[in-house]
Amino acid sequence: MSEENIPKRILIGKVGLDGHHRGAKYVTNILRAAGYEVIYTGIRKSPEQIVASAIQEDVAMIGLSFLSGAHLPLFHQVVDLLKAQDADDIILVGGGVIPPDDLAALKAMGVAEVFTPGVADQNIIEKVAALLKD
Amino acid sequence: MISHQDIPALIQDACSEHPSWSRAAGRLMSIAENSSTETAHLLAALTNAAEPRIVLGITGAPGSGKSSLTNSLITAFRQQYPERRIGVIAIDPSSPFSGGALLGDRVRMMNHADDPLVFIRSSATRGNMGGITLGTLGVLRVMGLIGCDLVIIETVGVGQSEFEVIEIADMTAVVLAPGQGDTIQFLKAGLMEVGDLFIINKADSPDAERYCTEVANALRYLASAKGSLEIVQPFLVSARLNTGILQLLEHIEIFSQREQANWLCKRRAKMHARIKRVIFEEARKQIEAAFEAIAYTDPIDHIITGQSTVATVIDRLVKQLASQIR
Repeated sequence: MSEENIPKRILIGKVGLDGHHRGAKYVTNILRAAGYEVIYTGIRKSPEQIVASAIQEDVAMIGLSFLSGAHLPLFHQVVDLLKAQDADDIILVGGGVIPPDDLAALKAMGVAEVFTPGVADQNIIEKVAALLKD
Repeated sequence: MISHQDIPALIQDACSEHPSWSRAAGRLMSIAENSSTETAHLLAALTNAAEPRIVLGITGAPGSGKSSLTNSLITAFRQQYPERRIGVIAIDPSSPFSGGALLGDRVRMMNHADDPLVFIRSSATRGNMGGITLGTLGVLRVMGLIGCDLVIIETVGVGQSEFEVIEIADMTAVVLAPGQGDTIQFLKAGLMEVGDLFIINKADSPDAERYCTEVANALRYLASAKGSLEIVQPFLVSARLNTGILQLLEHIEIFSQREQANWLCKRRAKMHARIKRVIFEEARKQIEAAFEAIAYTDPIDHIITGQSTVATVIDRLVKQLASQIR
């Protein structure tokens, strides 16, 4: 494998009391098919577990899926933990059932992109690729 | 992109108490995985760094419970030695089609994710047969640097991986589970030859005890066929119910104390064998690329039609490659 096309690493997970993992697993699969190395953490993780995993795995991006409505406080905790460990250069993206009214607050917090229901695979892949460009 | 100029600072950071230590360790591991040139700098910088006391390889067919067992071993280790650090290198396959990978071993170990004395790193095979490369050696060295006492290397579990892991691990555990066929399957796969210990997982399933007896018998035949007096007994455990795990850890500890001196002598020699194969693998990839570049189809046609032999074609290919390199 030449050193230019080393696959980028992305962590996909779910935080908090939310067991709806179909979306997260689906995104994991399309990212794998697009050539990314995806670390999947499973459901009901704490912000601490997600951030520690992302750091140990040295991922370039964290994608969190929410269907619980708790995206604002939980994303907030993830952002704070990343800052505390000098890891706030890791790009954050979100997905799931997130009301349009919350998008501005998430972006202000530092979430680079939010994928809501109905978004096309190709759209996700293109946006992820653009965000991960060096 | 991180470069070798960052290595000394990252090493210093990884050994420190600063909250960014694990970030630095993770970055050093990426250097090892991403670039063989940068890995050389990393290995040079870590020549005198501490090494893990025990490197345990875990192999076995997909679905036999390697990750769950690793998880149980982490729990037991952390209970038994509350002040010691444990590392895990979990290898999963890359897709030969997209180059991507789903690294999912960590799912079984997430309870330990925020324990500062547990460091888990997932690796993809990236087109290398069993996935154990020079990069793995680099990751292992970084595990040593951050003070991991025990490092578990969990293999892909198919194909070549079980033969590769024995060249980087001090001891290798083969994980088996009932329902994987009779012991003929086990004998055929050559797993008997790689295992220092054999673990029958899923003791909570109804066939487990019978399967364990069968494996014990097979191991006894093999020992007597080799003229060995030492009979290896399989361990019956359940990663799900957490039974037999403490005894297993105790056995690993006793085994390591007995073999420690032996292992230290063997580490270098084993590594020689591994790196030699990594070099051959790399050379093979380069030959393949060169063959594609000089792609001319007639020699293959000649072989198919019997007009020329494989040996003469190889001879021509080697000459052509040599002239290309010059």
